[in-house]
Amino acid sequence: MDNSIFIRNLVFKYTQLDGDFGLGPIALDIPKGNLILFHGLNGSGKTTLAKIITKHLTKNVIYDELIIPEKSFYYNQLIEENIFIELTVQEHLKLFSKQSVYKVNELFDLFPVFDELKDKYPDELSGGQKQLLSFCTIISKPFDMIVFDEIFNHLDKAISNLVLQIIKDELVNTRKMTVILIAHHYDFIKPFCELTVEFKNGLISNIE
Amino acid sequence: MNILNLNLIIDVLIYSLIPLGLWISFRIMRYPDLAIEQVFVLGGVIFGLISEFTTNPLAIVPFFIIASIILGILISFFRYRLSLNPIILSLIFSYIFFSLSLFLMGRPNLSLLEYYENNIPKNTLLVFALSILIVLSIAYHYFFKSNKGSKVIATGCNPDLSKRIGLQSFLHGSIGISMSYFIVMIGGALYSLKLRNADISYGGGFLLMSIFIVLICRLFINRISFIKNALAIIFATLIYTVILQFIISLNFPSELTRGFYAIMLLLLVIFSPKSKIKLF
Repeated sequence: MDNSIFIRNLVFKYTQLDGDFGLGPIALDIPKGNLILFHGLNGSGKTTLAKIITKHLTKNVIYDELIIPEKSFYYNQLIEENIFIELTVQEHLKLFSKQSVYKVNELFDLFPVFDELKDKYPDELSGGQKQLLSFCTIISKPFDMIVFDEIFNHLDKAISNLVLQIIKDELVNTRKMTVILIAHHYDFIKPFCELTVEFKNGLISNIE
Repeated sequence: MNILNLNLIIDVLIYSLIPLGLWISFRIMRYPDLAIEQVFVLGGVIFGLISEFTTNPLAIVPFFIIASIILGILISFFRYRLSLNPIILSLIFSYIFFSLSLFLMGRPNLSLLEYYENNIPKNTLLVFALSILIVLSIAYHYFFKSNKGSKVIATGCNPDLSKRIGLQSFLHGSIGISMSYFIVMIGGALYSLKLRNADISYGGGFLLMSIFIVLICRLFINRISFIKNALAIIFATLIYTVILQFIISLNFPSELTRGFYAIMLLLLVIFSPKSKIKLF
């Protein structure tokens, strides 16, 4: 099958103090090795679906068919949760030296900004540098799919372009990985994406 | 150097193995190990039981390695596989280790006079304790600087991310806790060797002392460097022990010394910068 994700009639419901919320029914086909954009208002269901397809949410999920990649990663918006505060930049990059897709020097080539920062700890880096470090650590692992939830929030324009370029050229085109970007401000991302999925009130309202 | 001073230095070297072990579990693994006193006692008990068969220190060490690996795997299973609350887990294991020590000894204490008929010369004990500290510090320092060591540190400081990126948190958690327990059990063994006796009550007060010392060192040393922290811990243990001796020499009621240190610890936590004292 050429699809990375194949979903039919997926429904997810949960209860909060102020009422019941839900997602679906959802039907979605995402081909392998594509860059996908999920967008929509807060609470529209894009993050919930992202967590389901990366196996972060498994309870109360009902479906007729659900095919998702074996090795996936959900990159959330909280930078501190995506880094190891006790490891230097260099130690982060060396962490997967054996099973990493890239050698350490290749990572330094991809992200020359880390050359001067290799002995620094995350608490000595700016928010953007931390985000870049966690991005760099995570893409070293051989995942089939990564969902980046608001990854561009703390990045300036130049670094955002670098990250987007690496996602498109390295992850999607070269490694044939499926990458989903969740973003509120997506104008500069949209031209790079093969598919754009819009969410509204827990449903997919539009696919382009 | 008179005997009292030599005694004090030997005590400091032995005692410092406990906060050093706690530093690994507390600071690196983010596991606030309330069972550390009982691990210390267990070290003494295992030492006592093995002494029946051999008094060769090199033959005894493998037993501590095996015991610490078993306990490390056990704790790591509950901590990383079943995601149990670390404080509750360490409290439960504190009682389990206490019972285990009693069960192994079959009574509250075990005399080692039969196996070590003569008092161990102070100089021998000093060299022994110092050598162990130096060898362990260097070995642990280079381990934590290695890629495997980085994975243990990563598992300790962010277990959730470690799991998500497939870092084998159970394995690396086991390594971290085992290393902590090995060092503490060696301390227990040295203490029992010095007193030629293993006793269920030997751990009393060491948890308080260790937390105090680990927190003090956290204030001054921000990074995980084993040798730097080991030196700081030995120095802090020396200060702690000297103050304790001084207080006792002033005829301060001995039953109040733990209360005194508990209040000192409370003041330390209250008045330290929050960013520094925060361990988790």
